[in-house]
Amino acid sequence: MLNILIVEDETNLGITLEEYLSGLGHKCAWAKNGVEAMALFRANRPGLVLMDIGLPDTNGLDLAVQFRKERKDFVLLFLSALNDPATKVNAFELGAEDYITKPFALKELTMRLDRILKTQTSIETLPEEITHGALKIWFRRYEVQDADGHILALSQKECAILELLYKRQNEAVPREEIIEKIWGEDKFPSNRTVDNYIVKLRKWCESDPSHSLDIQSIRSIGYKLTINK
Amino acid sequence: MKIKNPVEDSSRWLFFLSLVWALVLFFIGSWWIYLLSNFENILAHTERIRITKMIFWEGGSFLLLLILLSVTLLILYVRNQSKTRALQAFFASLTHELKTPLASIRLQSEVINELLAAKNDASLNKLSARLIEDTGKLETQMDKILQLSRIERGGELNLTTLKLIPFIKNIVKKLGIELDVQIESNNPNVVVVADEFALEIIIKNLLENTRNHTASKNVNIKIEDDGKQVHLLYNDHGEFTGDKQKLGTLFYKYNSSKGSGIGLYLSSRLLEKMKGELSIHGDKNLLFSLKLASGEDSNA
Repeated sequence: MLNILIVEDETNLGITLEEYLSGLGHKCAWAKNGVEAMALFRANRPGLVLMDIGLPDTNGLDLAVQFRKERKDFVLLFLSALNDPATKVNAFELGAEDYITKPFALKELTMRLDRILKTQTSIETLPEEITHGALKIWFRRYEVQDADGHILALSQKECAILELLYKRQNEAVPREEIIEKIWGEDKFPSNRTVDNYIVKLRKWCESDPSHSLDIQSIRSIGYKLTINK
Repeated sequence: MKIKNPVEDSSRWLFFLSLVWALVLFFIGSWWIYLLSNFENILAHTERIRITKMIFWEGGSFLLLLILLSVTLLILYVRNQSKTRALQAFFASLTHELKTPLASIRLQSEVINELLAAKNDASLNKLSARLIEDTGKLETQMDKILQLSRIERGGELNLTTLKLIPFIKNIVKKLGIELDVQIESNNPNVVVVADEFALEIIIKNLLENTRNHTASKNVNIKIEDDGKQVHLLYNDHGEFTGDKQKLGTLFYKYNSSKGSGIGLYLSSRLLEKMKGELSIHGDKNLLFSLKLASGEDSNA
């Protein structure tokens, strides 16, 4: 079960989403504007926020920034009628899991929710803080610490990839499997897209001179995370 | 045949004509001033005053008339441009405003559809399925208008790399059109550099054109990847009887009862933005040729 906060100013859409998702067994709250959303965010501590962008008193992107300042351990999913690349890029820079454009297919949304739920359940089986040499991982907060002590925020996908590789440590995980588990069957990222996500994780690993964690690329297969300490 | 951009074509002509007009105006004006200043030396004293006056008034009125005419044309042109822009902005914001209620309608109908699925009522199921299908159609039209106005106002695309074959298959599945789509490719893992949403509009538009204008239910898509460019040839075995020269022109509708006449034009503009190209070959059985930049996979 997910604890969901729906931020949506269109009444019918908000109500239907709330009723439907509650019907699926999730805990749902619905806010019509920025002020309500902030209050519910603080009171309910949701694990997932479904965010509209055009809100009467604020902008969904700005609101998400405020949310992130308060807490980092929630998944952000944008649901908006705006479909221009600049807004989408901004949304992903805020670490959004996805950007769904309205009108959306219900199946599209439920599939995303299922995947988020899977990652969350999987993350919950891991300890709160994981330390390997000079590197630290907090999966629940979507953050890692490099060898110089800097805390880096991970996007939803980076975190999910790291979690997948971490759970299958010392084993080569095929790219196809990463794509299927992280992106889902209705997205078509090329292998290069996956590589781009790995680059940041690898940089983080390489900040530790003693190589406590190592992400290797296995040619024409995928990636392997090895733990040396 | 390549699809031309009528807006660019006409603005090129307009620019050329204004240049000619400005040159004519400049030469007439200079010639007139030359005459005014040099007539004193050319003409005899008795004639001079009369003729200078005549040239001054006649030439002056003529020149003034020409200048007035140019200014009027300029004002009309600027007004027309701003009106077009305002109209585009209006359509974009209107379409955008319609999207949220449409999202609501779609959501309600999908929920109804799910509730009905449990009840096993065939006729109600059919009705709700049609409702969802129609919101899908409306959505496609709105997306086209929005993208067109965005592109015409200089909007940019977000280019990423994506796997072409599963991408096309997914669109076919999502559209739910009863077509037999066969994809043939020299590289089963072909990757292109494209804007996901724009490419979806382009492929959807081809499939919808086939549904609306073609009796044949077979579509052959041939993909060739040479490592630099991906060449996609779309053949739906249709018979085209309209004016091929006009095909792809904005608002041209071959079969006037269906469509908005912006699909092919928008597709070619979007492909241009993705450093690709759309061209149409053949006479009756039209072949749509799409060229896209190939996104070679690293370590693949």
